[in-house]
Amino acid sequence: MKYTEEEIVALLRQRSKKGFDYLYENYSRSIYAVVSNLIPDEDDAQDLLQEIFVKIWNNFSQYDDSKGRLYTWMLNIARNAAIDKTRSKDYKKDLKNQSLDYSVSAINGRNSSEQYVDHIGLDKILDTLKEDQRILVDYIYLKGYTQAEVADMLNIPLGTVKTRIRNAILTLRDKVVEQ
Amino acid sequence: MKTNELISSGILEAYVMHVATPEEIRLVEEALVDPVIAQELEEIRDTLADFSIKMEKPVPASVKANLDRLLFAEEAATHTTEPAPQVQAPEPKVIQMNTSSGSKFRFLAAAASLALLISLGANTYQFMSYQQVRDRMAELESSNTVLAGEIKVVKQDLGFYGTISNFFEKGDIKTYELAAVGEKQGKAVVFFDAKTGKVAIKATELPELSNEYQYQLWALVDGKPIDMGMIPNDSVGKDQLAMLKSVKGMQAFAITKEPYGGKPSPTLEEMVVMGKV
Repeated sequence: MKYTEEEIVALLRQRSKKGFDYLYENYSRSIYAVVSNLIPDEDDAQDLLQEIFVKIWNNFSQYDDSKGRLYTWMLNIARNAAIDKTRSKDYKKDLKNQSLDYSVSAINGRNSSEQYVDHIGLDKILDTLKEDQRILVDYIYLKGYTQAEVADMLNIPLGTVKTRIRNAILTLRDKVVEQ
Repeated sequence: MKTNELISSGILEAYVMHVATPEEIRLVEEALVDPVIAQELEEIRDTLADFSIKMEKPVPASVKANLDRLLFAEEAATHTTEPAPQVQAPEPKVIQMNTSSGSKFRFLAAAASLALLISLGANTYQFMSYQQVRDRMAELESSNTVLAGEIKVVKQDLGFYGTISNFFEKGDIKTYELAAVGEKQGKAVVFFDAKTGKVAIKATELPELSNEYQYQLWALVDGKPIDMGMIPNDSVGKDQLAMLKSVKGMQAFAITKEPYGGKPSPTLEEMVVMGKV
Protein backbone atom coordinates (compact mmCIF):
# COMPACT_ATOMS: atom_id res chain seq x y z
CA MET A 1 0.00 0.00 0.00
CA LYS A 2 1.47 3.32 -1.03
CA TYR A 3 -0.06 6.63 0.00
CA THR A 4 0.63 10.11 -1.26
CA GLU A 5 1.71 12.66 1.30
CA GLU A 6 -1.76 14.27 1.19
CA GLU A 7 -3.36 10.91 1.92
CA ILE A 8 -1.11 10.20 4.92
CA VAL A 9 -1.77 13.68 6.29
CA ALA A 10 -5.51 13.16 5.85
CA LEU A 11 -5.33 9.76 7.61
CA LEU A 12 -3.35 11.23 10.48
CA ARG A 13 -5.80 14.10 10.84
CA GLN A 14 -8.54 11.49 11.21
CA ARG A 15 -6.37 9.90 13.94
CA SER A 16 -6.15 6.73 11.89
CA LYS A 17 -3.83 4.00 13.17
CA LYS A 18 -3.28 3.06 9.55
CA GLY A 19 -1.82 6.52 8.97
CA PHE A 20 0.45 6.16 11.98
CA ASP A 21 1.59 2.69 10.93
CA TYR A 22 2.44 3.96 7.47
CA LEU A 23 4.38 6.89 8.87
CA TYR A 24 6.31 4.58 11.17
CA GLU A 25 7.00 1.99 8.51
CA ASN A 26 8.38 4.59 6.12
CA TYR A 27 10.21 7.02 8.34
CA SER A 28 11.19 5.33 11.61
CA ARG A 29 14.44 3.88 10.25
CA SER A 30 15.70 7.17 8.95
CA ILE A 31 14.62 9.11 12.06
CA TYR A 32 16.34 6.41 14.11
CA ALA A 33 19.53 6.88 12.11
CA VAL A 34 19.42 10.63 12.77
CA VAL A 35 18.77 10.07 16.48
CA SER A 36 21.44 7.36 16.76
CA ASN A 37 24.06 9.68 15.37
CA LEU A 38 23.26 12.19 18.08
CA ILE A 39 22.65 9.62 20.84
CA PRO A 40 25.02 6.69 20.35
CA ASP A 41 23.63 4.58 23.21
CA GLU A 42 21.13 2.20 21.61
CA ASP A 43 18.71 2.02 24.52
CA ASP A 44 18.64 5.79 24.94
CA ALA A 45 18.18 6.25 21.21
CA GLN A 46 15.30 3.76 21.12
CA ASP A 47 13.58 5.41 24.08
CA LEU A 48 13.92 8.74 22.38
CA LEU A 49 12.65 7.41 19.06
CA GLN A 50 9.56 6.22 20.91
CA GLU A 51 9.09 9.62 22.54
CA ILE A 52 9.46 11.29 19.16
CA PHE A 53 6.73 9.22 17.56
CA VAL A 54 4.44 9.87 20.53
CA LYS A 55 5.11 13.59 20.03
CA ILE A 56 4.44 13.38 16.31
CA TRP A 57 1.14 11.61 16.96
CA ASN A 58 0.03 13.85 19.82
CA ASN A 59 1.02 17.12 18.16
CA PHE A 60 -0.08 16.28 14.66
CA SER A 61 -2.71 19.03 14.70
CA GLN A 62 0.20 21.50 14.76
CA TYR A 63 1.49 20.32 11.41
CA ASP A 64 0.61 22.84 8.71
CA ASP A 65 1.06 21.34 5.26
CA SER A 66 1.02 24.74 3.62
CA LYS A 67 4.21 25.59 5.51
CA GLY A 68 6.33 22.58 4.68
CA ARG A 69 6.72 18.91 3.98
CA LEU A 70 5.72 16.21 6.43
CA TYR A 71 9.12 14.56 6.80
CA THR A 72 10.80 17.93 7.24
CA TRP A 73 8.39 18.64 10.10
CA MET A 74 8.97 15.22 11.68
CA LEU A 75 12.72 15.57 11.37
CA ASN A 76 12.55 18.94 13.09
CA ILE A 77 10.73 17.38 16.05
CA ALA A 78 13.21 14.51 16.14
CA ARG A 79 16.30 16.67 16.07
CA ASN A 80 14.85 19.05 18.62
CA ALA A 81 14.24 16.18 21.01
CA ALA A 82 17.63 14.57 20.40
CA ILE A 83 19.61 17.78 20.71
CA ASP A 84 17.72 18.73 23.86
CA LYS A 85 18.82 15.41 25.27
CA THR A 86 22.47 15.87 24.33
CA ARG A 87 22.38 19.32 25.95
CA SER A 88 20.87 18.01 29.17
CA LYS A 89 23.10 18.01 32.24
CA ASP A 90 23.56 14.30 32.80
CA TYR A 91 24.23 13.75 29.13
CA LYS A 92 27.02 16.34 28.82
CA LYS A 93 29.34 14.23 30.92
CA ASP A 94 29.10 11.31 28.53
CA LEU A 95 29.57 13.51 25.51
CA LYS A 96 32.81 14.86 26.93
CA ASN A 97 34.11 11.35 27.30
CA GLN A 98 33.25 10.60 23.72
CA SER A 99 34.61 13.71 22.07
CA LEU A 100 38.07 12.19 21.97
CA ASP A 101 36.88 9.20 19.93
CA TYR A 102 35.17 11.50 17.48
CA SER A 103 38.27 13.57 16.91
CA VAL A 104 40.20 10.40 16.31
CA SER A 105 37.71 9.22 13.73
CA ALA A 106 37.85 12.59 12.02
CA ILE A 107 41.62 12.37 11.77
CA ASN A 108 41.21 8.92 10.31
CA GLY A 109 39.27 10.70 7.61
CA ARG A 110 36.05 8.72 7.83
CA ASN A 111 33.03 9.83 9.79
CA SER A 112 32.17 7.85 12.86
CA SER A 113 28.50 7.78 11.85
CA GLU A 114 29.41 4.84 9.64
CA GLN A 115 29.40 2.40 12.48
CA TYR A 116 25.83 3.33 13.40
CA VAL A 117 24.17 3.76 10.10
CA ASP A 118 23.47 1.96 6.87
CA HIS A 119 23.97 4.56 4.22
CA ILE A 120 21.82 4.63 1.14
CA GLY A 121 23.57 6.84 -1.33
CA LEU A 122 24.63 9.02 1.56
CA ASP A 123 28.32 8.39 1.04
CA LYS A 124 27.97 9.43 -2.56
CA ILE A 125 26.49 12.73 -1.52
CA LEU A 126 28.96 13.26 1.30
CA ASP A 127 31.79 12.53 -1.10
CA THR A 128 30.75 15.51 -3.22
CA LEU A 129 31.61 17.74 -0.29
CA LYS A 130 35.11 18.95 0.31
CA GLU A 131 36.84 17.26 3.23
CA ASP A 132 36.66 20.37 5.43
CA GLN A 133 32.93 20.73 4.68
CA ARG A 134 32.26 17.05 5.26
CA ILE A 135 33.79 17.14 8.72
CA LEU A 136 31.56 20.09 9.64
CA VAL A 137 28.40 18.35 8.39
CA ASP A 138 29.45 15.30 10.36
CA TYR A 139 30.16 17.15 13.60
CA ILE A 140 27.45 19.79 13.50
CA TYR A 141 24.55 18.20 11.65
CA LEU A 142 25.01 14.53 12.39
CA LYS A 143 26.62 14.75 15.84
CA GLY A 144 24.98 17.96 17.07
CA TYR A 145 28.07 19.86 18.20
CA THR A 146 27.67 23.65 18.31
CA GLN A 147 29.58 25.77 15.83
CA ALA A 148 31.63 27.23 18.68
CA GLU A 149 32.57 23.76 19.95
CA VAL A 150 33.68 22.67 16.51
CA ALA A 151 35.64 25.89 15.92
CA ASP A 152 37.40 25.19 19.18
CA MET A 153 38.00 21.52 18.49
CA LEU A 154 39.34 21.97 14.96
CA ASN A 155 41.05 25.23 15.85
CA ILE A 156 39.45 27.34 13.10
CA PRO A 157 37.74 30.73 13.46
CA LEU A 158 34.00 30.63 14.25
CA GLY A 159 33.23 32.82 11.21
CA THR A 160 34.93 30.27 8.96
CA VAL A 161 32.87 27.45 10.48
CA LYS A 162 29.69 29.40 9.71
CA THR A 163 30.48 30.14 6.09
CA ARG A 164 31.82 26.64 5.47
CA ILE A 165 28.70 24.97 6.79
CA ARG A 166 26.57 27.28 4.66
CA ASN A 167 28.60 26.38 1.57
CA ALA A 168 28.34 22.72 2.46
CA ILE A 169 24.56 22.95 2.59
CA LEU A 170 24.42 24.89 -0.66
CA THR A 171 26.40 22.07 -2.28
CA LEU A 172 24.09 19.48 -0.72
CA ARG A 173 21.10 21.41 -1.98
CA ASP A 174 22.36 21.09 -5.56
CA LYS A 175 23.30 17.44 -5.17
CA VAL A 176 20.09 16.35 -3.54
CA VAL A 177 18.02 18.15 -6.18
CA GLU A 178 20.08 16.51 -8.93
CA GLN A 179 19.29 12.99 -7.72
CA MET B 1 20.79 42.55 9.92
CA LYS B 2 19.67 42.80 6.30
CA THR B 3 17.95 39.89 4.60
CA ASN B 4 20.92 39.04 2.39
CA GLU B 5 23.40 39.37 5.19
CA LEU B 6 21.38 37.05 7.36
CA ILE B 7 21.04 34.50 4.57
CA SER B 8 24.75 34.42 3.84
CA SER B 9 25.80 34.51 7.50
CA GLY B 10 25.35 30.78 8.12
CA ILE B 11 23.05 31.60 11.05
CA LEU B 12 19.96 30.18 9.32
CA GLU B 13 21.77 26.88 8.85
CA ALA B 14 22.75 26.85 12.52
CA TYR B 15 19.14 27.58 13.44
CA VAL B 16 17.78 24.72 11.35
CA MET B 17 20.39 22.35 12.75
CA HIS B 18 19.44 23.37 16.30
CA VAL B 19 22.94 24.55 17.09
CA ALA B 20 22.30 28.33 17.06
CA THR B 21 23.09 30.43 20.14
CA PRO B 22 20.14 32.02 22.02
CA GLU B 23 21.02 35.36 20.45
CA GLU B 24 21.04 33.87 16.95
CA ILE B 25 17.73 32.15 17.62
CA ARG B 26 16.20 35.50 18.59
CA LEU B 27 17.63 37.12 15.46
CA VAL B 28 16.17 34.44 13.19
CA GLU B 29 12.80 34.39 14.88
CA GLU B 30 12.46 38.14 14.55
CA ALA B 31 13.37 37.91 10.88
CA LEU B 32 10.81 35.17 10.20
CA VAL B 33 8.17 37.72 9.20
CA ASP B 34 10.27 38.28 6.09
CA PRO B 35 8.93 35.78 3.52
CA VAL B 36 12.34 35.53 1.84
CA ILE B 37 13.89 34.39 5.13
CA ALA B 38 11.02 31.99 5.81
CA GLN B 39 11.43 30.50 2.33
CA GLU B 40 15.20 30.16 2.72
CA LEU B 41 14.75 28.43 6.09
CA GLU B 42 12.31 25.94 4.61
CA GLU B 43 14.72 25.21 1.75
CA ILE B 44 17.56 24.53 4.16
CA ARG B 45 15.22 22.27 6.15
CA ASP B 46 14.17 20.38 3.04
CA THR B 47 17.78 19.97 1.90
CA LEU B 48 18.77 18.45 5.22
CA ALA B 49 15.63 16.31 5.25
CA ASP B 50 16.42 14.99 1.76
CA PHE B 51 19.92 14.31 2.97
CA SER B 52 19.06 12.58 6.21
CA ILE B 53 16.26 10.45 4.77
CA LYS B 54 19.02 8.59 2.93
CA MET B 55 20.34 7.27 6.22
CA GLU B 56 18.59 4.29 7.68
CA LYS B 57 19.09 2.20 10.74
CA PRO B 58 16.88 -0.83 11.49
CA VAL B 59 14.68 -0.29 14.51
CA PRO B 60 13.98 -3.19 16.91
CA ALA B 61 10.35 -4.28 16.70
CA SER B 62 9.93 -3.60 20.42
CA VAL B 63 9.75 0.16 19.77
CA LYS B 64 6.69 -0.17 17.53
CA ALA B 65 5.08 -2.62 19.95
CA ASN B 66 5.56 -0.10 22.79
CA LEU B 67 4.11 2.68 20.67
CA ASP B 68 1.07 0.60 19.77
CA ARG B 69 0.56 -0.12 23.43
CA LEU B 70 1.05 3.53 24.44
CA LEU B 71 -0.99 5.16 21.71
CA PHE B 72 -3.57 2.61 20.67
CA ALA B 73 -4.10 0.27 23.62
CA GLU B 74 -6.71 2.67 25.03
CA GLU B 75 -8.44 2.79 21.69
CA ALA B 76 -8.46 -1.00 21.45
CA ALA B 77 -9.86 -1.20 24.98
CA THR B 78 -12.66 1.28 24.30
CA HIS B 79 -13.46 -0.66 21.15
CA THR B 80 -14.09 -3.84 23.04
CA THR B 81 -15.92 -2.25 25.97
CA GLU B 82 -18.02 -0.05 23.72
CA PRO B 83 -21.68 -0.54 24.69
CA ALA B 84 -23.40 -3.06 22.49
CA PRO B 85 -25.92 -1.53 20.12
CA GLN B 86 -29.35 -1.39 21.69
CA VAL B 87 -31.67 -4.05 20.45
CA GLN B 88 -34.68 -2.30 19.06
CA ALA B 89 -37.63 -4.31 20.15
CA PRO B 90 -40.51 -3.76 17.80
CA GLU B 91 -43.05 -1.44 19.35
CA PRO B 92 -45.86 -3.61 20.68
CA LYS B 93 -49.13 -2.83 19.07
CA VAL B 94 -51.54 -1.49 21.60
CA ILE B 95 -54.91 -2.94 21.09
CA GLN B 96 -57.83 -1.50 22.95
CA MET B 97 -59.24 -4.34 24.94
CA ASN B 98 -62.89 -4.34 24.92
CA THR B 99 -63.62 -6.61 27.83
CA SER B 100 -67.19 -6.87 26.93
CA SER B 101 -66.56 -8.39 23.52
CA GLY B 102 -64.85 -11.46 24.94
CA SER B 103 -62.75 -14.21 23.46
CA LYS B 104 -61.95 -12.74 20.01
CA PHE B 105 -59.94 -9.93 21.58
CA ARG B 106 -58.37 -12.25 24.08
CA PHE B 107 -57.20 -14.40 21.17
CA LEU B 108 -55.80 -11.35 19.34
CA ALA B 109 -53.98 -10.19 22.48
CA ALA B 110 -52.43 -13.63 22.94
CA ALA B 111 -51.40 -13.71 19.27
CA ALA B 112 -49.81 -10.26 19.53
CA SER B 113 -47.89 -11.28 22.65
CA LEU B 114 -46.68 -14.42 20.92
CA ALA B 115 -45.60 -12.41 17.87
CA LEU B 116 -43.71 -10.05 20.15
CA LEU B 117 -41.97 -12.94 21.90
CA ILE B 118 -40.93 -14.53 18.61
CA SER B 119 -39.65 -11.23 17.33
CA LEU B 120 -37.67 -10.60 20.53
CA GLY B 121 -36.21 -14.07 20.30
CA ALA B 122 -35.16 -13.55 16.70
CA ASN B 123 -33.60 -10.21 17.59
CA THR B 124 -31.64 -11.70 20.45
CA TYR B 125 -30.42 -14.51 18.24
CA GLN B 126 -29.34 -12.07 15.56
CA PHE B 127 -27.63 -9.86 18.10
CA MET B 128 -25.71 -12.80 19.53
CA SER B 129 -24.39 -13.84 16.17
CA TYR B 130 -23.53 -10.19 15.45
CA GLN B 131 -21.49 -10.14 18.67
CA GLN B 132 -19.75 -13.36 17.71
CA VAL B 133 -18.77 -11.88 14.37
CA ARG B 134 -17.49 -8.77 16.08
CA ASP B 135 -15.43 -10.73 18.58
CA ARG B 136 -14.04 -12.83 15.79
CA MET B 137 -13.11 -9.68 13.86
CA ALA B 138 -11.37 -8.19 16.86
CA GLU B 139 -9.45 -11.44 17.28
CA LEU B 140 -8.43 -11.46 13.64
CA GLU B 141 -7.39 -7.83 13.79
CA SER B 142 -5.15 -8.39 16.77
CA SER B 143 -3.57 -11.52 15.32
CA ASN B 144 -2.98 -9.50 12.18
CA THR B 145 -1.05 -6.90 14.15
CA VAL B 146 0.96 -9.61 15.84
CA LEU B 147 1.78 -11.14 12.45
CA ALA B 148 2.82 -7.78 11.03
CA GLY B 149 5.16 -7.35 14.00
CA GLU B 150 6.63 -10.78 13.48
CA ILE B 151 7.16 -10.17 9.78
CA LYS B 152 9.08 -7.02 10.62
CA VAL B 153 11.34 -8.93 12.98
CA VAL B 154 11.90 -11.61 10.35
CA LYS B 155 12.75 -8.93 7.78
CA GLN B 156 15.31 -7.43 10.14
CA ASP B 157 16.77 -10.84 10.86
CA LEU B 158 17.00 -11.50 7.14
CA GLY B 159 18.87 -8.24 6.63
CA PHE B 160 21.26 -9.22 9.37
CA TYR B 161 21.87 -12.69 7.97
CA GLY B 162 22.48 -11.10 4.59
CA THR B 163 25.29 -9.09 6.17
CA ILE B 164 26.66 -12.19 7.86
CA SER B 165 26.58 -14.34 4.78
CA ASN B 166 28.24 -11.57 2.80
CA PHE B 167 30.94 -11.44 5.46
CA PHE B 168 31.67 -15.15 5.13
CA GLU B 169 31.37 -15.32 1.36
CA LYS B 170 33.49 -12.33 0.42
CA GLY B 171 35.92 -12.27 3.32
CA ASP B 172 39.16 -14.06 4.00
CA ILE B 173 37.92 -15.48 7.27
CA LYS B 174 40.19 -16.65 10.07
CA THR B 175 38.68 -18.33 13.11
CA TYR B 176 40.12 -17.79 16.59
CA GLU B 177 38.97 -19.67 19.66
CA LEU B 178 39.03 -17.76 22.90
CA ALA B 179 39.47 -20.07 25.90
CA ALA B 180 38.53 -19.52 29.54
CA VAL B 181 41.04 -17.58 31.65
CA GLY B 182 42.02 -19.00 35.06
CA GLU B 183 38.99 -20.08 37.06
CA LYS B 184 36.55 -18.50 34.59
CA GLN B 185 34.07 -20.54 32.57
CA GLY B 186 33.14 -20.50 28.89
CA LYS B 187 34.62 -19.98 25.47
CA ALA B 188 33.92 -17.86 22.43
CA VAL B 189 34.82 -17.79 18.76
CA VAL B 190 36.03 -14.76 16.82
CA PHE B 191 35.67 -14.68 13.05
CA PHE B 192 38.11 -12.22 11.57
CA ASP B 193 38.11 -11.05 7.96
CA ALA B 194 41.77 -10.54 7.12
CA LYS B 195 40.79 -8.52 4.03
CA THR B 196 38.66 -5.85 5.68
CA GLY B 197 39.44 -6.26 9.37
CA LYS B 198 35.76 -6.89 10.14
CA VAL B 199 35.04 -8.98 13.20
CA ALA B 200 32.10 -11.20 14.11
CA ILE B 201 31.75 -12.95 17.43
CA LYS B 202 29.92 -16.05 18.54
CA ALA B 203 29.30 -16.08 22.27
CA THR B 204 27.29 -19.29 22.41
CA GLU B 205 29.32 -20.75 25.23
CA LEU B 206 29.69 -17.71 27.45
CA PRO B 207 27.61 -17.64 30.66
CA GLU B 208 24.54 -15.41 30.29
CA LEU B 209 24.62 -12.03 32.06
CA SER B 210 22.06 -9.96 33.94
CA ASN B 211 21.11 -6.59 32.44
CA GLU B 212 23.62 -4.59 34.43
CA TYR B 213 26.52 -6.32 32.68
CA GLN B 214 27.75 -6.85 29.16
CA TYR B 215 30.68 -8.62 27.59
CA GLN B 216 33.16 -6.37 25.86
CA LEU B 217 35.55 -7.58 23.21
CA TRP B 218 39.11 -6.30 23.10
CA ALA B 219 41.86 -6.67 20.56
CA LEU B 220 45.46 -6.48 21.67
CA VAL B 221 47.41 -4.34 19.20
CA ASP B 222 51.10 -3.66 19.94
CA GLY B 223 50.52 -4.51 23.58
CA LYS B 224 47.55 -2.11 23.94
CA PRO B 225 43.91 -3.19 24.35
CA ILE B 226 41.61 -1.71 21.68
CA ASP B 227 37.88 -1.57 22.37
CA MET B 228 36.07 -3.75 19.83
CA GLY B 229 32.56 -3.04 21.10
CA MET B 230 29.91 -4.65 23.23
CA ILE B 231 28.47 -8.12 22.63
CA PRO B 232 24.68 -7.73 22.73
CA ASN B 233 23.32 -9.65 25.71
CA ASP B 234 20.65 -11.29 23.60
CA SER B 235 23.28 -13.05 21.50
CA VAL B 236 25.09 -14.45 24.55
CA GLY B 237 24.47 -18.14 25.18
CA LYS B 238 22.67 -18.45 21.86
CA ASP B 239 23.68 -19.80 18.53
CA GLN B 240 23.97 -16.29 17.12
CA LEU B 241 26.60 -14.07 15.60
CA ALA B 242 27.17 -10.41 16.37
CA MET B 243 29.17 -8.05 14.18
CA LEU B 244 31.52 -5.80 16.15
CA LYS B 245 34.11 -3.15 15.28
CA SER B 246 36.95 -3.66 12.81
CA VAL B 247 40.60 -4.04 13.64
CA LYS B 248 43.93 -4.86 12.02
CA GLY B 249 47.29 -6.07 13.22
CA MET B 250 46.10 -7.53 16.51
CA GLN B 251 48.04 -10.16 18.45
CA ALA B 252 45.16 -11.43 20.60
CA PHE B 253 41.47 -11.12 21.36
CA ALA B 254 39.98 -11.11 24.84
CA ILE B 255 36.56 -10.67 26.40
CA THR B 256 35.89 -8.98 29.73
CA LYS B 257 32.71 -8.70 31.75
CA GLU B 258 31.95 -5.00 32.23
CA PRO B 259 29.13 -2.79 33.50
CA TYR B 260 26.45 -2.34 30.81
CA GLY B 261 27.77 -0.12 28.00
CA GLY B 262 31.38 -1.07 28.59
CA LYS B 263 34.53 0.73 29.69
CA PRO B 264 37.27 2.63 27.87
CA SER B 265 39.86 0.15 29.15
CA PRO B 266 39.40 -3.47 30.18
CA THR B 267 38.90 -4.63 33.79
CA LEU B 268 41.62 -7.27 33.77
CA GLU B 269 40.34 -9.30 36.71
CA GLU B 270 37.04 -9.69 34.80
CA MET B 271 38.72 -11.18 31.76
CA VAL B 272 36.65 -14.23 30.89
CA VAL B 273 38.20 -15.68 27.75
CA MET B 274 41.24 -14.98 25.65
CA GLY B 275 42.87 -16.28 22.50
CA LYS B 276 46.14 -15.49 20.70
CA VAL B 277 46.16 -14.84 16.99
